[in-house]
Amino acid sequence: MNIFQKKESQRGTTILEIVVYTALFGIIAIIISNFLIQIVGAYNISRAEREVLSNGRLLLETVTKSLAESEEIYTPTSAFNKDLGQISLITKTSVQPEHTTAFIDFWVDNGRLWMRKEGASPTPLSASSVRVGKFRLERLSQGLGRDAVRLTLQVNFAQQKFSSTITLNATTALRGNY
Amino acid sequence: MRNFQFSIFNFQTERKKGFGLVEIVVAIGIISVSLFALLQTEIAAIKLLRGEKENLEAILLAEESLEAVRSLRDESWASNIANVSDGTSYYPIVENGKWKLSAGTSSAINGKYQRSVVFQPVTRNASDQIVAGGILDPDTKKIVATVAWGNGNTKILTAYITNFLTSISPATEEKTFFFENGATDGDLSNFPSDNSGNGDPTQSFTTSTATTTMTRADLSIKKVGTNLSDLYLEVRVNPTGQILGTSTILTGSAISTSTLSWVSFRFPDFVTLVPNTNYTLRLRSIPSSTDAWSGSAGPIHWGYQQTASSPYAGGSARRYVGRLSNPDDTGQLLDQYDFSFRIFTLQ
Repeated sequence: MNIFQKKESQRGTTILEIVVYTALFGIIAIIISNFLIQIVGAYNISRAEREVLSNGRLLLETVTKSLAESEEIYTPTSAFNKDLGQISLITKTSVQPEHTTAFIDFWVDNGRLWMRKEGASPTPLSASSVRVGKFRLERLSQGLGRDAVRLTLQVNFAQQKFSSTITLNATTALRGNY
Repeated sequence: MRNFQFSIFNFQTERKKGFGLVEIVVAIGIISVSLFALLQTEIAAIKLLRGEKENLEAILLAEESLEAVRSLRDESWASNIANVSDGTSYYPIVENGKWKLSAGTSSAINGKYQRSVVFQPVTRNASDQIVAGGILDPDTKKIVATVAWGNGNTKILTAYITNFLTSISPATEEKTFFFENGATDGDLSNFPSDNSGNGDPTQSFTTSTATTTMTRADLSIKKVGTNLSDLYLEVRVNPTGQILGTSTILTGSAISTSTLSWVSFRFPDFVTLVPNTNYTLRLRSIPSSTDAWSGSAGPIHWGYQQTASSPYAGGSARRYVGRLSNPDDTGQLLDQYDFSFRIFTLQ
């Protein structure tokens, strides 16, 4: 190989070139790996934002649609004015055979929002990648038989390192599908 | 790579010596540019998602404005909608457990969103279609809900509301049992008590000769402290007896502060009251004022009257009911005092 050749002029240059090469390679490796780290970080942040946004929208849509089409609130199993509240609704949509009304419950357990329709088993609505930090319900009564629920929903990304949060407010009047 | 190694370690000719470094530099250049592009894509994605998140929050606040106006329409067109000035900015706010409109633009909601609602008159043509420059329709309004945030971002939603509910006659409620002379604005019951577990104030009343269905009770109250606990009202057979009905919870921060005002506690599950019977209204707080160090905070003023004998013949006032976590403590009878209240029943 060339390294072991005897010519004076070539030996010195070779060692210098190896040093230069190594240094260059090191710098390049640092730059490229730094880029890669930044890309992975940015990807994780965008994933956190995406998860929080899509979960927040889904949860809010589901709860407010159920509220809007329900007939009334079943008070004994509803908890208002609590950061992690729960609500039971009496609805006329998708009722069991030989029944006129059905119950729908929403509650938060262990950071996940759950839904149970009468006759079905509980289903988690939120993904495991997010935590429901706030599910606060406030009952507003504008008049006789004019019930409305004000919902404050906060969804956080589950990993502390890539924090992302969304806070959504919505007021829904119980209109029983009119 | 073979060629690359070859170039580095082969210094036989001048041409090949330089070529290795150039090759590396070019390769690195290409890799860097493509990685940079990838990074920019991700950063753009984050920006878009954050923008979308703000959009969603803003649009929901605008929708809430519209829903608030619809709720006010449901309550009463004549007293809530007909008297607003067209073209003026209002914003919806929850006060005393219901929506109301205040003039101007709201303070920042969630730290950044400001919202407002503007009403506009609606004109119709001969075939009742909404057109510009037709005949004014006093029973229809156009609502424009605006949410503004950041550097000039806005979301605007538009809707029409009509006064169709007056043509339906829904169930009504009337004030049936009441004592309204309690106009003294003072702290009689230290409720909700800070840490001392002072219990709850109560006021009893007597029903007439007919069976009635109670839908709501109004109390003349005012918030004094800034950090008031949430409040609700109970109907009981006596101050410590069985609970017959529980009202909706009023958020403490939304109780008005200026003067004693009639605040509605609504009973969504109506309470049936039998004739010639004494019932007790017991004001409660969350956390409970009966427990020492529960975190309840106040106080509120419940308007009262004091005379030599009980000013209201049908009942009496009490304070300190259930104090220090003793549910059987009937508290102190205030035989010279009565608190103001109005009981509404279904007609």
